[in-house]
Amino acid sequence: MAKNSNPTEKAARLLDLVPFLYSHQGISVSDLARNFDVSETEIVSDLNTLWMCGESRFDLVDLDFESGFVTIRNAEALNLVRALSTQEIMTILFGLDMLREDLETQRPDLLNEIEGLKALLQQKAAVAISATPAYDSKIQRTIDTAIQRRRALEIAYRSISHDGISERVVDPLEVFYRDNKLFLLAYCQNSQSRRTFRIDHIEKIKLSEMEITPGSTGNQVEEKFSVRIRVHSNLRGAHETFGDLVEGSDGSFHISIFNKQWFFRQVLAASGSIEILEPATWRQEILGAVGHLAAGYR
Amino acid sequence: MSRKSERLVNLTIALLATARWLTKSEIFAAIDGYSGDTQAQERMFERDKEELRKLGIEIEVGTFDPLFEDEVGYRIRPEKYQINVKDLTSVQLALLSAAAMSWKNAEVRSQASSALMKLNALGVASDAQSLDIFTPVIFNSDENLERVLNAIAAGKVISFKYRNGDYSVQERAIEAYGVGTKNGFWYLAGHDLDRQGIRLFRLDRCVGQIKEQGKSGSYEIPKDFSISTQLATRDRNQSCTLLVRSNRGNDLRKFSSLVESNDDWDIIVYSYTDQSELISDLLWHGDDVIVKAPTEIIDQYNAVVARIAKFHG
Repeated sequence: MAKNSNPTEKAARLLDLVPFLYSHQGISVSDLARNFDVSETEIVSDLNTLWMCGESRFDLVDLDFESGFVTIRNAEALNLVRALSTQEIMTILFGLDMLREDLETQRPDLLNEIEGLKALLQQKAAVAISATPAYDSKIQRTIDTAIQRRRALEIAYRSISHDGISERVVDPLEVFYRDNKLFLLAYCQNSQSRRTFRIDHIEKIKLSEMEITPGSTGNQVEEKFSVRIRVHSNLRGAHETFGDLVEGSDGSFHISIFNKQWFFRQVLAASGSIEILEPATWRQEILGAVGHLAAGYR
Repeated sequence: MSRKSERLVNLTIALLATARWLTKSEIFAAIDGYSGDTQAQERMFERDKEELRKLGIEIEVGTFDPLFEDEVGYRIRPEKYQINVKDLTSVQLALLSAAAMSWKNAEVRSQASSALMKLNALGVASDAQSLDIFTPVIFNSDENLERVLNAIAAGKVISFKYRNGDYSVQERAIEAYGVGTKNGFWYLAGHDLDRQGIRLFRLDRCVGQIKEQGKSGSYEIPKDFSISTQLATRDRNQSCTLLVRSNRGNDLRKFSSLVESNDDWDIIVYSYTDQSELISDLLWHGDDVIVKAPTEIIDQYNAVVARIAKFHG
């Protein structure tokens, strides 16, 4: 959502409105708001302020927007597109980096153009920027297309809780970003429930011929386990893996677990930094599991 | 609030439109809003100049008479105010738009959207869709990213609280050199003033707000600094031999070569970077993966297994 802007941000927008309006005479107020990523109320307030601006009280900017469509006259002095700021250049450099990764296969002819632009922008702002896409753009593109056309997806998914790849048909609902990771929320036709898939675990993806099943909103009922652990080292890692840890009086932590198999694998992968305290049966189970591992070497 | 915006716009118009230097008294007379006594007006004017400078608008100061420097004047040169895209082709402009559009879903996107606006205002064929390429999407939900970009642009030292491996929090002060994103995480690199060296920080491990301190332009980014080098993936230059159950070890197989395949088990040679990461990855796979060589890895694996057993015994 658009944030409220401070007077300086507003002034910057007013300055940028002038050349934009000159090149988009007759644009609707709503399109204008969308273009500037602010609410309509905010853009109307901008226009009202801009209308009061000018070189002197007798030579004000001539704006007409009562009809809901905006035209501008008498603002030639400001009809200049401002130079890009260092911050703007930085955001463009990130984008160019992301584009480059993708164009290597898609449009190799554009790679030189990208390098040229990066060099040019870096002359104007000597900043160090680097971006590597975390996700295969083909996968993102296929998901976007499926959502737009309301089509199902055929995916091969590598489980995060066990070591297996499953083939599924899913109805995509939305893509969301949380804790530095990108997820796909979808209705899984195989399990007939709503599931969340980590996009970096989608190994293969294909647009299905099938349309999204109407009313596919089934909700997954998840079992929740209450677990108490002791963290012997790398407490930051434990926080990043398990989310919020609730600390008890004895320095142990309470966590809620949705998937037992996932949890066991995390405890093993923690290489001895995490000890299960409760449930006692889980403690026994992990002991059995590591005993089994040691046996593999005898 | 709109009064101040109005004053900033009027100041910009006046300084842009003038063909000669404008004195402060001319500015105060021509532009509404410079109220109070001379001192108050001057303070206001200084603040406005600073605000415009933050927007990248450069106000030049000059004198009317080189022999008498008592009265200075101000102006903004249109050629410096204005974007210079004379030499760019429409394909290049379209690429710039596509790059700016990659931020459309990010929480911190105001810089990208104002850049896009400027490109759109040029009114040329800067339409990214004309390229028929897929615009990648940049994901960010960390408000500190914008603060870091602002500080780098201004050349200001930043300070923040950083979460260490043991979860303790430590105050850090750095000259920020660069920012990068990889595997969905955002990283900040710079010269750590206390540790006197280049350090890399994960943005999501900064606790609370990143703050600017000191003056603008207090440091320069070394010419040979490269954030890509800082974030480069370390080579998988070590290898070990593993016994992996058929159809298991899916993520390990991506970095392996198959040596031999039997009924239930495969022998693979797996390339890795770091020994403790390797042990952790092997343990995740439980009894589907057994290390065959080298002995050093087998010993370390067994030592970790023994430690887990001891805790739970």
